[in-house]
Amino acid sequence: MPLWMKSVQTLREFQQSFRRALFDPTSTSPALRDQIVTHGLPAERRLNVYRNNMIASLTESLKATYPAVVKIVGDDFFKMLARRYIESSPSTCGDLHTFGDNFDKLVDSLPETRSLPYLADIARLEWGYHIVFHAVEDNPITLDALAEADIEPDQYDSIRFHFHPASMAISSRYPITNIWRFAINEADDDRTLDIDTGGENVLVARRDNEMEFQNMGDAEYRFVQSMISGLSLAECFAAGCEVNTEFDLSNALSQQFLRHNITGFSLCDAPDALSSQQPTNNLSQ
Amino acid sequence: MNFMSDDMKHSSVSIPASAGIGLRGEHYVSMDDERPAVGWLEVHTENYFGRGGLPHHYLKRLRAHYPVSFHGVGLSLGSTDPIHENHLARIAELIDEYAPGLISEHLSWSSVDGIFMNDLLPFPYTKESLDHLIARVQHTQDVLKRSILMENPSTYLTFEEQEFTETDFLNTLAMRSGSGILLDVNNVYVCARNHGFDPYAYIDRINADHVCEIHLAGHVENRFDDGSLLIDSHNQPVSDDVWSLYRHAINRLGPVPSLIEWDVDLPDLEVLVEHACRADAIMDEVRANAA
Repeated sequence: MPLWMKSVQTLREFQQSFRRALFDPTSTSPALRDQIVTHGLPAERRLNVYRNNMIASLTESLKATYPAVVKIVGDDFFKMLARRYIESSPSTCGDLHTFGDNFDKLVDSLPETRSLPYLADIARLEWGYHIVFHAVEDNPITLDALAEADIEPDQYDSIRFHFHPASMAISSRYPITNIWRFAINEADDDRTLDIDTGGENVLVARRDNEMEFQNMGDAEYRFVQSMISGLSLAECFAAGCEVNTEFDLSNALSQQFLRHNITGFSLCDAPDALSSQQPTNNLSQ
Repeated sequence: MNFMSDDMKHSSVSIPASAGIGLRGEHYVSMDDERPAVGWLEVHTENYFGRGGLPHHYLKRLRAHYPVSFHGVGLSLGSTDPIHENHLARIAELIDEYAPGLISEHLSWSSVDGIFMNDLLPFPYTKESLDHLIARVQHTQDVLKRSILMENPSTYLTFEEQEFTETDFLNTLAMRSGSGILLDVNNVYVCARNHGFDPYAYIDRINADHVCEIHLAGHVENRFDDGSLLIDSHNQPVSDDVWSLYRHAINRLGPVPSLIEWDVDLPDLEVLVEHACRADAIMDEVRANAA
């Protein structure tokens, strides 16, 4: 048949049929198959190289982000997880750093992982680690900087602290950092880990290019979460008090400075709405 | 033999005509400690899309000692989806930050209908795809305010209804878009074996005026009952056949910035440096013969 009589695919049609053929080996269109030069090897064998490359490189990307999940479930099961994830939540970006953000939801939804109830939380911890690892740098300030700012006491409630951008707060019913360390450290078959030692609130942080986990109580966790959300000090304090009516604000706040979590502060635009109903806080200790 | 003065080559102002090595996270610490005598470094642009942390910490430190080239793997220039302008804008920010001597992308596509396969996929070399690539490369260069290099890919299949050979396609793309060519000698070898052509003739057909960089990498062979395919695996030493082809390319093109690429199962840094020395030795020989 002369070339002009063939129905030639447009570049877009070609790419759409190629994508379908990569994701589903049974759906290679006749138009695509006819286009591929065999030169000694069948078209499907050649397409398989691309199928394998795609699965392998996306799986490697997930393995790099979720090393503890890999250790917990083993390589073969992880490959199956990765394959399902690639099919159900395909990559939508040329920057692979963004790939894998919903992995915890897949882990949570599978009957096979029901015997590992903490696994989705480990995945959340590892995604947090990944995000924090690449987050923008900033310089922490000390409490002195706040004291030197001469903020009027009636404005304390409306201070908005700038939390270090390389931070993510995660809460779990399981001891996730213990499980994470147990999984990451090289296997020693005699080790055991008790997963029933209670839950954990953890701030995944990068300070001075070192990754760290900061453990927090329940009230402090709500306080820190509110700070990360950019709420006023009064609102952060209220969030802490919701969990613990005895919440010690000055201690919790100075902890944040000591842990190099605060990079600046500013005054909220409408402080009056909050200051009347919230306690005033002594920051000059 | 065709020797061009450096200033005739596209934008390779700060990348010397010598061997460089790919900088990967596994080598950050040893690179920073040892600062081996290689001419320049190349990074995958997307590895620096994060805003902070160790990748930027080390790249900033090393940039003070080495010229750096940006090699993109994610722009998907061959795709018929709209270009991700955010992706392009981030590359532009990184160019402002690190002033790379060369910027390159691939003659391939990675995405369609919003789905990324994050691989370098082949497409038929037709008038339609040529016009498409020219427009996309020109747009990229307009946004980045720099000319870019386009790399010949490793391919595992080719198409019946092609209107150009790959060399004609690359030469015409370079001429009409003002881009340069990144000649990956290993990819030429891999394709020649997979599709049955003469890799030396391919090198001879590439327009020497447009070649601004060469890549060298290792490949593996996948064997089947009915044949085999070479896979561009970047996890091996450069093969002797590829070194011979490289020597041929340098004989024809003259010394060109030449990169040792190794991405998987990375060896110690010194192995990459030894590879770079071997490429430099070949370029020195060619220089000596021409003198």
